[in-house]
Amino acid sequence: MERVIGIDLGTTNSCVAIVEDGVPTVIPNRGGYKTTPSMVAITEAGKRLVGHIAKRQAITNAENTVYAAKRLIGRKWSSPQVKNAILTASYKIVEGPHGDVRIQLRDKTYSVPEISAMVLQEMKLFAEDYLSEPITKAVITVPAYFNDNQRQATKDAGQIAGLDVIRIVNEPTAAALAYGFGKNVEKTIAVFDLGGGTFDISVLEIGSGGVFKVIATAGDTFLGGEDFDARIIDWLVQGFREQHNVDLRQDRMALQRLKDASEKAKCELSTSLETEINLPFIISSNRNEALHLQRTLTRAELDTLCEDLVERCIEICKQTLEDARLDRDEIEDVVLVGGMTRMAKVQDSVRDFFGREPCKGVHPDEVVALGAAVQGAALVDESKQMILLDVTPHPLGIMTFGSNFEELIPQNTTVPTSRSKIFTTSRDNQTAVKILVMQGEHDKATDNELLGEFILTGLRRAAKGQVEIEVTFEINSDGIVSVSAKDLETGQQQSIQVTASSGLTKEEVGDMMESAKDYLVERRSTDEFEGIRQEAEKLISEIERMFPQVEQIVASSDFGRDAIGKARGIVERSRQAIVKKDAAAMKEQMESLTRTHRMFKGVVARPQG
Amino acid sequence: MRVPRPKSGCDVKSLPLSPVEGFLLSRIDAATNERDLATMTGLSPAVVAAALDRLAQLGAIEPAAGAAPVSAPLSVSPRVAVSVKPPRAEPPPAPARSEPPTSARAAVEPAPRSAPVLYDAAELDEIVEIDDDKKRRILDLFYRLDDLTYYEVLAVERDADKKKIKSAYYAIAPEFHPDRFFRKNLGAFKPKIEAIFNRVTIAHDILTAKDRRAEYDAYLAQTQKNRVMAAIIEQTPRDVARAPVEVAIAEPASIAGAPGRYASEPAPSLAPPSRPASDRPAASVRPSVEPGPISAEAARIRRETLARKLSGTMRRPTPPPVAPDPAAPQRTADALRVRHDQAIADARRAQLQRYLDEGKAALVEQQFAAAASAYRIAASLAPDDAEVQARFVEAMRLADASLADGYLKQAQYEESQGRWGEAALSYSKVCNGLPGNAAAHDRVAFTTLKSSANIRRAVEFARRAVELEPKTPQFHLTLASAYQAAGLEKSALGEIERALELAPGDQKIKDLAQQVRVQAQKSAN
Ligand SMILES: Nc1ncnc2c1ncn2[C@@H]1O[C@H](COP(=O)(O)OP(=O)(O)O)[C@@H](O)[C@H]1O
Ligand SMILES: [Mg+2]
Repeated sequence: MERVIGIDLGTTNSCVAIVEDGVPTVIPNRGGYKTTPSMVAITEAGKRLVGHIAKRQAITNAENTVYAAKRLIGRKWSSPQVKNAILTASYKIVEGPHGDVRIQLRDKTYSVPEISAMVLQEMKLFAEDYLSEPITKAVITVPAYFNDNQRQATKDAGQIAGLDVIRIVNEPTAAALAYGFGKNVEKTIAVFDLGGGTFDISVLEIGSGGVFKVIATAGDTFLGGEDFDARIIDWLVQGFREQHNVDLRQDRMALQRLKDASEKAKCELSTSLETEINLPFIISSNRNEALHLQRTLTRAELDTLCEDLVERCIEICKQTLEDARLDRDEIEDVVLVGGMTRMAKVQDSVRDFFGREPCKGVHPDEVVALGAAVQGAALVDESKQMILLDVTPHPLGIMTFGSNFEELIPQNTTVPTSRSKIFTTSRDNQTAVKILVMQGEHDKATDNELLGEFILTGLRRAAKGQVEIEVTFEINSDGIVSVSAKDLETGQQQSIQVTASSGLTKEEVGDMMESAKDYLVERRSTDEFEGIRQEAEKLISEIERMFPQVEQIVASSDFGRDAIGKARGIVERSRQAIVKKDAAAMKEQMESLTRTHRMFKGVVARPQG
Repeated sequence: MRVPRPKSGCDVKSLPLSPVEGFLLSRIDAATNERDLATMTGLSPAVVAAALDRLAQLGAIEPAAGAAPVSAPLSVSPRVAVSVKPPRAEPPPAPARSEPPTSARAAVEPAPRSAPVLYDAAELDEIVEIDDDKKRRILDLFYRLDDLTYYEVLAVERDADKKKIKSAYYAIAPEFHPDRFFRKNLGAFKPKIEAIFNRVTIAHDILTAKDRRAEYDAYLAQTQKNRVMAAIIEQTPRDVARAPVEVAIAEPASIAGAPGRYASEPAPSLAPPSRPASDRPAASVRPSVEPGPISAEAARIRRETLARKLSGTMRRPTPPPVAPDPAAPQRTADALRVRHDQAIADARRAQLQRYLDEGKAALVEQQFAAAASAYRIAASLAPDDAEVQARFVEAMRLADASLADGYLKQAQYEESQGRWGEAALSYSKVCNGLPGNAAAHDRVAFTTLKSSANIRRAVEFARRAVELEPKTPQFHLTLASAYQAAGLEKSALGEIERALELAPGDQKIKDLAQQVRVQAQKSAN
C-alpha cells in the first residue's frame, strides 16, 4: 500500500508527517528542523531557494522573496485582501489572466499555487529522503474557514508539486485527529489555532469508535501573528518618528529589519518579561548621520498593544459556541495550535474564556501535520476504523433574480452533502443557462465570494419554460464544490462550462506541473553534481597538498616526470569541469582523479630510501 | 410499549363494550402502539391503558406477535432485506433449518406490513464496488428514508437520552460515510449513500439539541394528530342521508340470539390512517406529491366497516327467551315484533343521546374530529332532526378548520427546517381546508419554488394567492419569483411593478425592479 504524507502548509511555517508503524511521526527537514518556513526566493543567479535558506536571505533579497503566499491563494485580484497585501508586501503582486493574482520574481511571474507548490515540493523531497521511497500521495491541510476557491487553489498547488492530494483537511480538525488518535475517549473539545496569518476555532466531538464530528467552525483569515508583529512595528515607527522625526517606513530595508526584530521580540516575550530591540544603523538622518534604534519592550506593553487582537479571537470563540449550541462548560478540553498560542496573553485569555487549563499534551507546531498524516493513513487503509465528519464553513448558494443570494446549503452542514435545484429556460430555443454559484453569509449576492459561472450548454431547443434542468450542487469531503446537471425530461447529463472562476485552468495546471518537474530534474542533477564536486574538490586539494613531496620523490625517473605531467592535466581538466558545471566531464574525470589520488598516496607512504 | 392486535375469532359484538372501548378497538391493527393509539384517538394515555387492559381481559385483543413498527428502523439486520426481497433473493431459508430462536427470527421474518421492498431489483445489478448485502441495505434504507422518523432513523426509543442518541449515531454514521468507500466506484449508489448519511446526521443534530428536539417532538405529535384527524374526517361522510342506517338497526334474528351477520368475520382490519408515502408505487424515487387517492369503493368499505364496528359496541337489550309455542306461532311472532320495535326505539334514543353527549364533550375538549365523528353517528340516528343535523355540519366545519390549523403548524415547522417539499405538501393541505386563504396559497408557491419540485404548480398557487388578495405586495413578489423560475421574465417584471405600485416606498422592491429591468433588457438584446 502506498504511503500518504500529511502536510501542514502554513502561512508562516510548513510541516510534514507520516504514520510509521502506526505511529504518527514528524519528518525533519534537511537541517534537522521539524518545521520549514513557507518562504520561497529566487536569487540573482536565478536559483530557487525554499525554507530556512530563503528566510535567511530575505533582508537582502526582499523583492524576490515570497512569504505568506497563503494569504493570497485562491483570491481574486479585485479583493480587498489583495489590495491590502499589495500595499504591505515586499514582493511584487500583479494581476493574472483570470483576474487572479500573480507574483513577480525577477523576470518571471508565478501563480500563487506555483509558489505554494515550491514549498510542497520541498516537503515532498524531505519525506522521500527520510523514507527512501518515492511519495506521490498527500493530505494537505487548510484553515477551516477557507472557501472553495482557496481549497481548489491549494489542491492545484499539490498537483503542480506532483502530489495526488487525496484529501484536503481543515487544520483544526486535523489537530483534533492527532489529539484523539489512539485514545479511546468520548469528548467535546475546542481547537484554538492562532498561526502567523489566520485564526481558526473549531468545536468537535470525539465519539466512540473513532468518529470525529465537527460541530461548528469559524475563523478569520486575516488575524494572526503578523498582526501582532505589525503592532510592534507601529509602536517602533511611531517612537522613532517622535525621537528623530524620520519615517522608517520609507525605507524598505529598514522596514524589513523592523519586521524581523518585532517578531523576534514578540517571541522572546513569551518566555521573558521584557526584551531589548536593538537595530544599529537602521537609517541615516536628514543630515546624513547614522541613526540607531534601541528600545525596551515589556510583556505588559505588548499585551496592551495587542489587546484587541486577542479580544477578537475570543469573540469568534463565543460566536462559534453559540453556533454549536454549547455552553462553555460543555467543552471538555481545549487544544492550542499555532506558534502564537505560546504568547502568555493568548493562553490567559483562552483559559479565562473556557474556564479551564488548555491541554498540554500536543505540540502546537506539529499537531496539524500529524493529524493530516493520520487522516491519510485512515483513508488508504481500510482496517483503520476512523471517520472524520467535517462541516462546510460557509453557506453555499446561487444568485437568483434581482441579485439576491439564495442559500442552498447552510453553514456548518456536515460534508459531503448535496442539493438539487431545477432551472428552466426563459426564451424560446434557448440553448444555454448561466448559473452563478457563490459562497458567503450575505443576502446580497454580490457581497459573497463568486466561485464560478457555470454555463449549461447544448440545451434541447424548445419553447421557453419547457426545458427543465436539474442542477446538483455538491460539496465533497474536501469542502470543494462541484456542479452537475441533467435534463429532467431526457435524463441526459448536461455539460457545464466554468468561466469567471479565479482558479487556474486544467491546462495551466498541467503546464505548471511540467515546469515543476523540470525543476525537480534540474534540482536532482544539481544535487548529484554538488555531491561529485565536493568529492572532486576534496581529492584535488589532497593531490595538490602531496604534489611537492611526490615530485621530489619521483622526479628522478622519466616515468615519474610523465606521471606528474599527466596528474597536472587531470587536475586542470577537473577544475575546468567544476567551473563550467559540466556534470558529464566531471564524472569522466572522477575516475582519473581517484586513481591519481591513490597513486600519490602510495608514493608518499612508501618508505624513503 | 404495548402493540395490541385484534384477536381473531373473537365475537366482538357479544362483548359488553363502552363506546370508548369500541372506538379504540376499531383503531387496533397490530401495528400501532399504545402511545400512538392515544395520540390517534385523542384519549388520554391512562384511558387507553385502562381500555386496553379491559379489551385484553375480554379476549378482544392480544399482543401483536413480532411487534414490528410500521417501518423498521435503520438498525434492522440486513437480512431483513434479504428475506423480503422476493425477485432475486437466494432461496428463502428452508423452514426446517435450525434458526436461532425467537427474537432473531422475528426480525428476519417481517410482519407483512413492515419493510416491503421498495426498490427495483434491477438496481442491484449495477456493477459497483459494494458487496450485495450492503447494496440491499443501502437501497432498502434509501427508499424508506422519508417514512422514518428521526428516532427510527437512529433506531432509538422516543425517550432516549442524548447519550444514547449519540452512540446510536456514532454506530451508524461511519457505516454510511462516503470515506468508508474511499475512491471506490459507487455509481448510482453514491447519492443514495450520501442521502442516508445526511439524514442520519440531521437526525442526530436535531435530537441532540434540546430545543430543536422539543420542536421536532411537537411536530411529530402534530403530524400524527393531523393524520388521525384527517382519517377520521375522511371516514366521516358529509352526506348524512346516505349514512348507513343499518348502524343501529339490527336484524331481528340477531336479537333473537342467532349469530350476527358479521360475528364470524375475522377481526376487522380497519386500516389506520396510512402514512402518505406508503401508498406510493414500489420503485418510485420521490414520494408522490399527494397521498394516493383512496378509491370511492375503498372508502365505502372502510366506512361500512367502521359503522359495523361501532354497532358492535352497542349494548343490546337482551330479549326474553323465546318459548316454543307451536299452538300460536303468529301471536308470539306479533308480540315479539312489538317488543322488538319497542326495544329498538329505546335503544336508538339512548344511543342518540350517548352520541350527542359524546360530541358535546369532545367539543368542550376541542377534539373536533371526535366531535364530528360522534355527531355524524347521531345525525344518522336522527336523520329528520334538523338541530342534530346542524350540529353535525358545524362540528365538521370546526374539524376542517382545526385540521387546517394543524397542517399549518406542521407546514411551518417543515419550512423552518428547509424541508421544502414536505412544507409545500402541508401548506397545500391547509389550502384544502381554507380555500380562501391567500397566505397559505402564497406559502405553497414559495415552498414549492424552494423545493423546485414543480414550477408550474408554484405559479398556479402564487396566482391564486394574488387573486385572493391582490393588494399584498409580498404575494406579487412570490408570483414574480415563480414566473422567473418558469422562464417568464416579462410577467415577472410585471408582478414586481405591481408590488412596487402597492408599496411605492419599499427600497428593496425598488432595487429589485431596477435589477430585473436591467436583466430583462440584457436578455432581450
Ligand atoms: N514563542 C513564540 N511566541 C509568540 N509567537 C510565536 C512564537 N513562536 C512562533 N510564534 C509566532 O507564531 C506564528 C507562526 O505560527 P505557525 O503556527 O507556524 O503559523 P502558520 O500556521 O500560519 O504557518 C508567527 O507569527 C510567529 O511569530
Ligand atoms: Mg498553522
